[in-house]
Amino acid sequence: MNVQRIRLVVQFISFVVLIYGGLFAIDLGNRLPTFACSYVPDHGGGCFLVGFQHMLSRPLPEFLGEQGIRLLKALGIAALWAIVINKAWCGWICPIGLLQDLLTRLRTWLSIDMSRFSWVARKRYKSVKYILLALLVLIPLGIGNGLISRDWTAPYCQLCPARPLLPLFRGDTTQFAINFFSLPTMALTGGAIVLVGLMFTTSFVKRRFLCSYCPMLAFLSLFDKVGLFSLKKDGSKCTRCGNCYRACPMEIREIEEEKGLKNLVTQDCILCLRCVEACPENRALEAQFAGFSFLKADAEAFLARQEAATGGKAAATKRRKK
Amino acid sequence: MMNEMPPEHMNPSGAEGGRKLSRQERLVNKVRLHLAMTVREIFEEVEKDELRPKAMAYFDDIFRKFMHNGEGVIKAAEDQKVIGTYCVFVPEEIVYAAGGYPVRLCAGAHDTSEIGEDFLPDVACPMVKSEMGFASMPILDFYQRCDMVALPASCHWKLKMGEMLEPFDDVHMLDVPRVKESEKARDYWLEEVKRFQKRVEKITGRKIRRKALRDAIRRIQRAQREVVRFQELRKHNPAPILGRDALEVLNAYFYDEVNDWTDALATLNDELEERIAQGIHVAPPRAARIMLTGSPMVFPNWKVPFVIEDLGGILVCDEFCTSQRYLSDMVSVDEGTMGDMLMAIAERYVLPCACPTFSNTIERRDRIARLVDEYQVEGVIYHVLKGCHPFDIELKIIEKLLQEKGVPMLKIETDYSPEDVEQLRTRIEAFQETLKGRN
Amino acid sequence: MKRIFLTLAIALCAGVHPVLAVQETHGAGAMTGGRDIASRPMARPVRHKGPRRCRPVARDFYWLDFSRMGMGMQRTPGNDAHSTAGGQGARLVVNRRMRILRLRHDGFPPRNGGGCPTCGARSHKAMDKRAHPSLERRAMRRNRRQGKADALLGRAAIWLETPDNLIHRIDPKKPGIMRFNARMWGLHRIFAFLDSETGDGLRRRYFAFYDMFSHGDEVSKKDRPMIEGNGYWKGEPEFFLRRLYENDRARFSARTGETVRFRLTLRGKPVKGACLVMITQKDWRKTAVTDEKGEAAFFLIKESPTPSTWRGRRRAEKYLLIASHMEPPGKAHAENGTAVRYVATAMLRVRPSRREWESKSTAFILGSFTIVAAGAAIAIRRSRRRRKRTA
Repeated sequence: MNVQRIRLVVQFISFVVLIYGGLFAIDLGNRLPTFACSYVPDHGGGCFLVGFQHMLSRPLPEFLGEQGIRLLKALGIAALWAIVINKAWCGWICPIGLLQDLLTRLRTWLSIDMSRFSWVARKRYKSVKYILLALLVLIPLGIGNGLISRDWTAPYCQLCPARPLLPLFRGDTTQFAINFFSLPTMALTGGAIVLVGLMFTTSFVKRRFLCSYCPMLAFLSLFDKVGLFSLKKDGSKCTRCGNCYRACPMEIREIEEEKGLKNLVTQDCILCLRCVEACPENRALEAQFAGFSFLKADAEAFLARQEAATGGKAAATKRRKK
Repeated sequence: MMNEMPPEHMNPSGAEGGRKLSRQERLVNKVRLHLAMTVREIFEEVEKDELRPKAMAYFDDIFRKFMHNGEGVIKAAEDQKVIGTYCVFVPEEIVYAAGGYPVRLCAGAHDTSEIGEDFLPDVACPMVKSEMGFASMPILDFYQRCDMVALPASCHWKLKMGEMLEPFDDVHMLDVPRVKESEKARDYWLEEVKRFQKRVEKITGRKIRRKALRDAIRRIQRAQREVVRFQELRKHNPAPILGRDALEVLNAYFYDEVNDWTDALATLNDELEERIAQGIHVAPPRAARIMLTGSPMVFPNWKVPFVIEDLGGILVCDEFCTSQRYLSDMVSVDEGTMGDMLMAIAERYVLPCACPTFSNTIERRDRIARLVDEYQVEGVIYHVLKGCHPFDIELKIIEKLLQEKGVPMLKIETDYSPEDVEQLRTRIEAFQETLKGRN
Repeated sequence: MKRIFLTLAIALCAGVHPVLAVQETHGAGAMTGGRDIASRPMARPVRHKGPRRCRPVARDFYWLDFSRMGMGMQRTPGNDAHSTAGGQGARLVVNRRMRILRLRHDGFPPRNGGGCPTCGARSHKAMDKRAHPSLERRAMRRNRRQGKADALLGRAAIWLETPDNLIHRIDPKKPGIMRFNARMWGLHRIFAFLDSETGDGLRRRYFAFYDMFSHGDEVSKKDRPMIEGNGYWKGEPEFFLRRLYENDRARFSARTGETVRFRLTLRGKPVKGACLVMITQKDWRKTAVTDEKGEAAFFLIKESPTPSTWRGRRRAEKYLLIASHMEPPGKAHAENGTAVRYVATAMLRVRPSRREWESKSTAFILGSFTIVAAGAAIAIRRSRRRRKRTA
């Protein structure tokens, strides 16, 4: 069983459902914790950050009343999604994730080597997504209370690379533009375009570059402990061969390093399950859903995958005999 | 048996063509003769075993050639470059990808270790001394055929051996990082592997392409896959194959061409499967299941496994860098780009390696604990070669671990000389008696 | 190196989206069209059937003016620093959905004495910093000046049709000024009605309409039936100038470069051959005559050039549509044998099209630049590292 292939198919299906779903009368609601852009015409499901940012841009006293309940309801729905399919939103559903994965496939096909951040740099950048998540709450609150100009309305929608990019798949180019209305809008929409460019370029050197800074990942990582999907590791079976770390698109070192940690859905994990596939030790890594383990590391399966990865039976080598 | 007698010209006392042999030549002839006799003794012993799998004949042939000057042990073509390797850290994938032929030169002959004393102190590990002996004298031809020798600086003996080898071989030192956890160490090791790649490319004159490297990885993975199968079969109780035979099989990988070896092992595996189905076993189900760990044992230094199995024990697994550790960790190709494959190769040789020359012992402890559980090991024999400090240092740690697991351990300290066999026999017998008592 | 070039080539190819390019040229054309208009008054009336001649426009009309007051934060009148009960100083009471409309009689375009034509503020700098000068007070003053009209204004009846098909009557607190809460998400229609009997043998009935979309929080129950019989007419205003939308999901705003379509009905029957005049804020005028279905359409062209400042680019301008119809004596409301003159106005807030304040070409250039620059940076870094390694 090739999980990565299944994942790609699932990603494609989710992409079609989220982008074109409206054409088939699919509506998953506007509270999905993933970059299913609401700016796409006839989208099948919308990102919850859009409504969340608008709901938050209210004066504080309003949250004591009806508005607070409305906000909690929206948050509750998003949190429920986040608990049920916690990080699989990133690895299996997110359309921006799919685009990055496809570009990565293109890169490997072109046989361009990957780069990795140094461990120090990686650690330093880890907090960026949480800072972004905090700003995601603070900026709309500032707008609602008259501290910040209304030009900052829905700042993360203006800055999000999904907004210019995903409507293009429906032939809508209106979002692929820079808004010259004011300096903040110009900076934010310009930033979105820069992020699109960076996503494209960095996909040729790194895997899932943008995901490391995604505030949605930070939001989802709040539910790591309670999420139904979990990644278990049996430290005594681990040889620390580093295969999992090398396979990890998010460069999570804990997966290799930790021998004591049980649940390895760490803050950056996107549940792509590449590590489980790359693990050559029987049952050293296990992916579970609500306690039911559906994928285990398996030496046999590992070897079968390796055979496919290294060219399969067709590449039988010449024998040398004296 | 006559045809396996050493050739006449190897007679140390005789003269050839009336010419008086030099001292050196006489010494070489003497050592050749002794080696041939040792090999013959081993195979005489081995042949007494009636239940031996037939597929073992292939591996026997390789070692029987040690009697005849080692000719035909390696299957390198005339024009093929031969790269000698030491330890478990030399990436063979790179050698194969560049069209070379890797041969591992770790040695276990007692006589050459005596020659090695010319270069090294008496307290040095007999393996290094033996290697020096083979390298400095034309005893086995594949030692002389090497176009280059890759020597990882693993233990202190190996570290200094490079300089001593230089008069005899073209030596390439590989600097294995001791503290492998750090990022810089990994980067450095990757650079070392790349440096090795450049060197091999220069020697063979063939640039390593992505496809060639991929194929080489695949060849070795195929061999490792058979090893995984072989080990699974060895877990079976009662044992379908003797531990000494298993050691021989894995030891043959040193010299044999990887595809041929894989095919032979596959044949053996098939035979073992058949045996398990038919209920043929080489040891009674109640035989003490023993694991060997510690300093490596290389042909023809097989006295310990012979003693263990003569006494009715069964050697179910080992943790030697010459057998199971050598072939258990695999390269994991992830993206399949050149950089990815090189990194995978580099990491495969160092990160999961349980060699005691690394700063931490956690890999080794976990590995031993796992082997004990998986192979239902009842007793562990910790083999230390005199002068092999890394394994000696780790002894207490492993002893503690095994105490916690409730598995008795016997430490034996020995070298390549056959003199202490009787003493070993007594100790191992006593050890096995305690194992029986426990049951 | 070959790989890097290949990468860049693919990056560039993927960047050049054909649709993007086509849209961009279209945008540029429209923008020059906007500038050209200064030299030719109100170009391009939409082709219409029927008589081209149009009767002169009624000068006497009432129209609904939208005020920016009420958007965003607002200081509640009477709740300032001195009158706060809790003594907490100025308390900001905010109701973002509060809308203020004004029924005006002072002609169109409004004369505001040099202030902002859109919102009445003296300057936009002032608008940014604090609340507008009270429009109510200014309107009161103006109404007082106008004397007779003010008396009529006090009698105006105003209704609000919410997206859930309810019609609410709004009672203006002061003559002609109404506030209401647009809480729902959807189209709110406001209409005002005035009836005058001047005794000069002509009865005038004034109607003013304004369609407004609100992004409220409450979702309307669309299945609620229309409440009929609001006291004056059944279902809809007697003389109804309504804007037609393509469908339910159409954008309810008007932008330059779009066509707006209006239908004029009298007691539910389409008025054929009536004259419709559109007046822009700069007093450009355009006329159209309604067809058999009572419909007429206007193509909206931006009347003033795009400002060089960012701020003004997205500003809406008010366009007013005026329809008038004279009914001879003896018809429905002509019991006294007087003729009835119907005047209906509909106010449109026309925003510049996106391409006035958004630029796809800049986005494309910036995107390509990022791709190339980042690619080059990575390539240089890698080659440097490689050189360092071999050295």
